[in-house]
Amino acid sequence: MPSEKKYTESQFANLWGRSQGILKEEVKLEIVPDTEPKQVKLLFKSSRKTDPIPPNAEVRLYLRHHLRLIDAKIGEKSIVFKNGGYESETFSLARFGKRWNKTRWQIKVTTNEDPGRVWAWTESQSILKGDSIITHDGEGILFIRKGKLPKEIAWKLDFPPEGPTIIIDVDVSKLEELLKKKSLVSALLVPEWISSILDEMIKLHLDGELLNAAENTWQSKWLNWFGIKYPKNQHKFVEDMDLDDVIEIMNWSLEIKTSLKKTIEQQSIIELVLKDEVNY
Amino acid sequence: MRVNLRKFNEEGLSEYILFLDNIRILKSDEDPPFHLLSDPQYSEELILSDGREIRINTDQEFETQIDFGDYLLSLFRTEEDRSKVLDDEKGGSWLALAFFKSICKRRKDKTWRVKELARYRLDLEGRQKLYRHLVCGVLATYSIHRERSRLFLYGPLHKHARTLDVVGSAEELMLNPRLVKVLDLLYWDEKKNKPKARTTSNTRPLDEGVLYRFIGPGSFIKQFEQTYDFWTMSSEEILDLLPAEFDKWLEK
Repeated sequence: MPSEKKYTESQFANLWGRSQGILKEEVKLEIVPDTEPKQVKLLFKSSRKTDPIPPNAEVRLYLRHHLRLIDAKIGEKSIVFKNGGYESETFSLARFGKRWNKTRWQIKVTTNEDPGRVWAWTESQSILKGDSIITHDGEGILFIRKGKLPKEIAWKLDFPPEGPTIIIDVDVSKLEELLKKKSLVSALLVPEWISSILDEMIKLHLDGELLNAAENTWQSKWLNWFGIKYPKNQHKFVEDMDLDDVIEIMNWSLEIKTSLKKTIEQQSIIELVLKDEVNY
Repeated sequence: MRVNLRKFNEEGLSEYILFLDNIRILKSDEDPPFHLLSDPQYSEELILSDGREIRINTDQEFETQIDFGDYLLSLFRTEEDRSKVLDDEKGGSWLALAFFKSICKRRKDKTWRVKELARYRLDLEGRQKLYRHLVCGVLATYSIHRERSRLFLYGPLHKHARTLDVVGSAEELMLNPRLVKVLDLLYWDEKKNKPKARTTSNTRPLDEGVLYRFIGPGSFIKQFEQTYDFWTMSSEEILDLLPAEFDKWLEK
């Protein structure tokens, strides 16, 4: 029997046979400047991937956050995905309150003739998605973006569903450039982030979001990047766990941290810095 | 004790968090600091959109979370009003203190059977597990699904149902009334008025058709959500799509 990951992937592949697949460059979301409450709009362009979709297929937008949803019809495919591009109307995020920036969005192209059929989709993603600075198998696993942080906080780690994201305060935005390349700053900060990311993964695992390398979550992408098998603990609430369960989790964490010391190559970077081969 | 609806200020929220730390970490048997609810030093007015004055009885009892959800929805009738507690830690945590005697139980020695902090404190900065908050989670869930939320809100006020924990984190499922109707048809035991036995079983390998086969790694939802849009499907169409392993759950 194939591994759980291969089994799941083959099922996905079979299902994707009925669709054009995921849209990336074809759809962009923009926050409309100077709007309060914030508004967003979408920019569409056609491609070879969208061409085979029937002209009367419906393009739908889903915006969701904090157990609230906006489900909007953008229009028929022939209108939205056309040569020359298309700009949607604007959508207010007032419904999501003060923390609108946590809103996630997704586009699905559906058809009435075959109920539920999705011709194409975008991945579900945060409105404020950062640039990826670590990738694995062509997908970003660590992101970075600028944001306004409280006074005296230069950066913080956030954990949206697409993956851990470093938010750099806009007042020290030069830090972003230093972090994107090999530098003393990145050599010192990356281990701290990765340790925090590990802590978050363990916390989520203990909290019931079972780590599973076959799943399409940011934790599974990090697991695959680490190349370390997930623990065999069954899904348990913290209050249901016994000492053995906790020890198993801690041993697993230690195994990953030991493995990471080699992956990070911090020592090599610092050596290069000391030899003046890379900049501070 | 009857108090007007208000919300904490910074100081009130800090005092409430201190109380939670005392009963969790120090195992204190102190009474809830109900004075924070109305003392202007610790709280301020919360005005609803229609200007109604809301009086809350901190001793009011509810049999189930469904009843509690119905009551809360009668207070926070509009989305704008619900946002004043669901999107505001100071509003949501104030409500948790107001109903603290119902959402947290005491042992015989008067110490509190306090569980995860997220059940009593609305933490919007962290992982935002709104559904785990024993007041705001109930309000949010009931406002979406009303009576259909029985699969998640069947228990007493101090219990967080495993069904809600499994489904609550999957927002695309939790927000979809048609999918929740399917869950209700699969897993609700009409005779016993609670979820069917073994609904949330998670022993590996998973039993056929359990909730974790519906949502979770390698589940029905995970396999079909990309190429099927459950928002545009009826519950019957979704049921038709289910693999045979779920059949026996419909027959139970």
